[in-house]
Amino acid sequence: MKQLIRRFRALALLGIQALILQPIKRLRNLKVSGEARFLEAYTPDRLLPLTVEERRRRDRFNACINCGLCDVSCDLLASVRRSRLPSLSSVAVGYGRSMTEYPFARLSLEELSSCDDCLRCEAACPRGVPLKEMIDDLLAHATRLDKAGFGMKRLSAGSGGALELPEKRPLAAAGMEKSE
Amino acid sequence: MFDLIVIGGGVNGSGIARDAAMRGLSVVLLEREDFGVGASGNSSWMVHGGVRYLFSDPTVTRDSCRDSGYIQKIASHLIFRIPFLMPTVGGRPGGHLMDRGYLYGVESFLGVYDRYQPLKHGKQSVRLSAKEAYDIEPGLRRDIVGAATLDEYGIDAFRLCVLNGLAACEKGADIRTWTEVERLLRDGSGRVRGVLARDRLTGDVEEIEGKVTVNAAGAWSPRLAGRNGLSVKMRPGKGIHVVLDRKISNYGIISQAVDGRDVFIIPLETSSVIGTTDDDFYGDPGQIEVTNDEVSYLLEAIEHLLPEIRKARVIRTYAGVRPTLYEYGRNESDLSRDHAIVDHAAEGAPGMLSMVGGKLAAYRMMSEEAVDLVEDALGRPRSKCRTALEPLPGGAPPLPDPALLSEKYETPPWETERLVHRQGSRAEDVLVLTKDEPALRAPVCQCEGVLGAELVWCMRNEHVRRLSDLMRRCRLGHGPCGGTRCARTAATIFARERGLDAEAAMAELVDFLEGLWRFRRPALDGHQLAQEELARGIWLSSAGLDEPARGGCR
Amino acid sequence: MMTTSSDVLVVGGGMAGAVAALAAATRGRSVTLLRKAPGATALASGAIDLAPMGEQRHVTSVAVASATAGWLEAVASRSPSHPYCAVGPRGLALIGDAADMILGRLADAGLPHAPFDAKGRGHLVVDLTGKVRRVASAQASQKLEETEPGKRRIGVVRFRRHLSLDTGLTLAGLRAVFANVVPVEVDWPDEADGAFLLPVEIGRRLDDPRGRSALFKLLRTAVAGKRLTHLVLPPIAGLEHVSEVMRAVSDVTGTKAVETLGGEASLPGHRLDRALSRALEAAGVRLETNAHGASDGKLKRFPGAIVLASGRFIGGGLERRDRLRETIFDLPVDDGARPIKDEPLDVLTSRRGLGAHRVFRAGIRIDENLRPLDVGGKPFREGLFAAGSVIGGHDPQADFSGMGVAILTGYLAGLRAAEWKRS
Repeated sequence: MKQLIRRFRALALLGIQALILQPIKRLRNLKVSGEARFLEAYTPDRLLPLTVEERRRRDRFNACINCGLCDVSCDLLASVRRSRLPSLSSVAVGYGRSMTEYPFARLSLEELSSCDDCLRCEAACPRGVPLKEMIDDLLAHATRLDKAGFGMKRLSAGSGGALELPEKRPLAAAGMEKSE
Repeated sequence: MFDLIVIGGGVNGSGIARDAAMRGLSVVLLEREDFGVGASGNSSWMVHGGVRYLFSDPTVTRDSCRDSGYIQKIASHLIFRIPFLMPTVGGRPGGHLMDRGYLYGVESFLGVYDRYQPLKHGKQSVRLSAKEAYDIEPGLRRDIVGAATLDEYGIDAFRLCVLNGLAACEKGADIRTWTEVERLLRDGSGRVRGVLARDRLTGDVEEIEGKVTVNAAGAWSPRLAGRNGLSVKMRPGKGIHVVLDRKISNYGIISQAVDGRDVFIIPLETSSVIGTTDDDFYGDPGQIEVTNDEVSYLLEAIEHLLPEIRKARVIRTYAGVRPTLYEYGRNESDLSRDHAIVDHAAEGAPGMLSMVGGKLAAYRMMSEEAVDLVEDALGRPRSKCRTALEPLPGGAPPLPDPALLSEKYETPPWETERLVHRQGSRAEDVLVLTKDEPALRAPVCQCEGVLGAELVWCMRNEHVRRLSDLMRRCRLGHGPCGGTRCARTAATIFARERGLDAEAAMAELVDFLEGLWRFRRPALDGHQLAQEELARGIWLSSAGLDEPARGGCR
Repeated sequence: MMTTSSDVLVVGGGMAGAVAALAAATRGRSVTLLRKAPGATALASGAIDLAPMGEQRHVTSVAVASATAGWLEAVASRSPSHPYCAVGPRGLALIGDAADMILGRLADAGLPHAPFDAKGRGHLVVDLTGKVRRVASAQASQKLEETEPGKRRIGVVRFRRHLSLDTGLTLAGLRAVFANVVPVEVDWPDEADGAFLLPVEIGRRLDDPRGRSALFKLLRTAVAGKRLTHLVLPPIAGLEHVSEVMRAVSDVTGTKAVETLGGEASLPGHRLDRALSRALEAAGVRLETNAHGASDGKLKRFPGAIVLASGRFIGGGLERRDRLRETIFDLPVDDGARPIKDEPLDVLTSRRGLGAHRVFRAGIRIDENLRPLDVGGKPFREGLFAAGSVIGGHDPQADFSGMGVAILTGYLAGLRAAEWKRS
């Protein structure tokens, strides 16, 4: 009996939602597209959509077997601060795997700013990983996050210009305070 | 004599141990392997708000959402947001109108769920046109009608168990992993007065006495009870997941398998994970295997919506046995619950409770319920549960800034970010180790960004007894190269920390590699064969692992 | 870009391809070698294994271990599908000539090896976990000099400032084999980010006399009073000047210095790869880069003899995407006993990961003349020969015959290709 009442309540909720509340919600949201609301909701968590190009490139990034031959091929690697960028192979097996962490990986890749595209790293790869393209892809995505205002280097008032991250889950944190 | 003996180091067992220890009970936790090795760590790692209970009992949804909010608060470092897309595929009988009607139904349903989202600080769902959906996920098939979105959270479920165990330990609980319960100890009246436990690494057997024993052994519960003449009814369900080498999208996507079941692909940590299957399983939960067929089933299900998925690289699988309630759904009043606490007093064995079923997102609530009953059984008044208020170890905000830590300790930034993600506010305690030993600044596992310091920290502070435990502490070896580059160095550090001789060290290394192989094997294809060829070259001709190792776990 | 004027085209630049190219060039043929990138050879340990020498793979006590004669023939007779058997006894008999040729060329290119010894006791080498085994040859720096057991006292160098150079397992493993094994701890590399250096970079530091003097100073102090006869180093003893580095270490410490075999990101493998390139250049072999299969179509139309030495999965000679295939000519693939097509992987693999698996014995079949066979067992194509791990019936990683097969089949295929004339 109790169960029936619960079930009835649930169905009633759905009915009200479908017939009254959802149409109202849609009307209210007419001016802002679903896509825009989606992006607004998730960009602060650094969850950007991939472009068609990015999506296609990803299929070619997955051949790395972490053999380390690219590391050996790169003359530039020997001269960078290794505590910032320990190896090139880290890019293929680690840094390049999760878009939300690209802003941190970029701090490492800044060490390679004088790379002259000799592409010896790619020539040395037994698996044909397009390492240079991966690095560019990573930097471009991190830049998109910057442009959206949620990259790594965001100057905030009162921070004295120091490196500051958006809080890891800023809206969740904000919501938390509200609920208490 | 302990107040409470907890059997099982999954999310239920470790959650109960923490709650009980926080309430001042003396607790011992016994786990036959390591934290989370059963259903907890091998789940989908979702802390969902119980959207599927909306139809049966919205109060469960409300409670689940609220508890999901609590988990965010106590483990703020470990949790991450997962937006889901639920695309609607066209072609229903009845034409376009039916397709749109279906999408509207989904949208309205999620609209109801939206009302509970604020409890877990979730985002409101939105409806996306087909074009908008492609913008957001360009890999979708081209004939969808549109999509609705849903906001959920994920969490590193292994670490969630570990952190509950660590928290219990900090409150005085005795944590014993790799310790198996041989049998229950009963007194003349049938009362359970403790357990006979065997340390599987040393072989030591010990009688442990406790006033109350809680069996939270998950899929192992029926066997444990059965061995002692008691009964726990369960309908175990095997579920497997397939892990891709990288995040192929920032969003989860819900697709349908050939049999109509929902199958999803979600971004988890550094990977995308496809799940899950659900099949009755009556074998030994410790011997669970993944088959090629199951992997094909999941890939095909995702291919339905993401046609290019076969170009992705599958690096491994994992599998667990869900401790599903027996005859779930037959009893109407149980419909809205997926867990039960059985008091074996009815079988003539007072002093023993079994916890059956449950879900990751509601573990804290269920632990509270169980410890309330434990206090009843102890004959003491119920004390206040504080598990939603006090953070788990490392979970107290504010989290340190990885970029600043990376500058301060001269460690690579991405690896430092991964450290902060796993260790939260304790990250700096870990990095302090590098002051005495600068070599620990270097990454050992490049794939998952595990610094030497994190390995040493875990070995010293997180109940690591075997090398393979580190997979569950910090994802060691869980990336694309599957331990090829890191396992020897990790074994070297482990041998040093523990003072192991050659035979014991090699046994640990072999155990670690074979554990990874077991779940990599069903997905071996494409690039993974080249990876395996490289790994075999190293392990067989450069590390002498071609002979079966002796020693190790009994 | 691909020359059609050469007499012989070798596909693949690993050990097998290099040996084939050198063998053909020795016979006066013009040779082009097409390679994508470094492959499995550049990742190898440095040991030249032919087969397990003796009853046990690993030496547990040097005093009693002695190699049994005829073990190479034993491998051939035990497994008829093994390339040692497929090339026939007359082919197998040429293993000494093949090895002498390539080891001579490598020595000329600056990478000396221990004298090839397939009949006697072989040479002792130490791997990264301190296991000791006998091999037919290895880089000279890897040969553990045998001395009277009573006088033997082995130091194992442990670099405390570098995690992957921590030889803790080597030390522990050696202690299970020898008495008197002691650690020799040094705080090196002594630079701010030294902990992040890769083995090859450390090798480069040691190539430079100024770079190594700091280490030598530390070593001299660390060995003082230890009365060591041997000093075991991790595999880092120089990239270009290994002999010089090893001699200097021996002099400074008054010991016989030895490197362990290479492991992850193997420096000895990289050293071998570079020395092979130098040897090929010295022999006048044209090296061309086939950027990941770009010229596969053209090479099929090559009018001269072709040696297929494209390797296995790392090299890309074999590939599996639902179906196992040879990538250039789509030759039939088997495991030496049965054909392999689209069997699921649980059939092609076994439960123990570090054990034997059908998929890792996979490759093409050859006849006595190294000609790849079609489904009917007939030579697939005029003038096509195969060498190295693209040939099936052996597991180069597991059965300790990888380099041996590469050298033997490379040599024979090179000779056959040199002799071949379009009929």
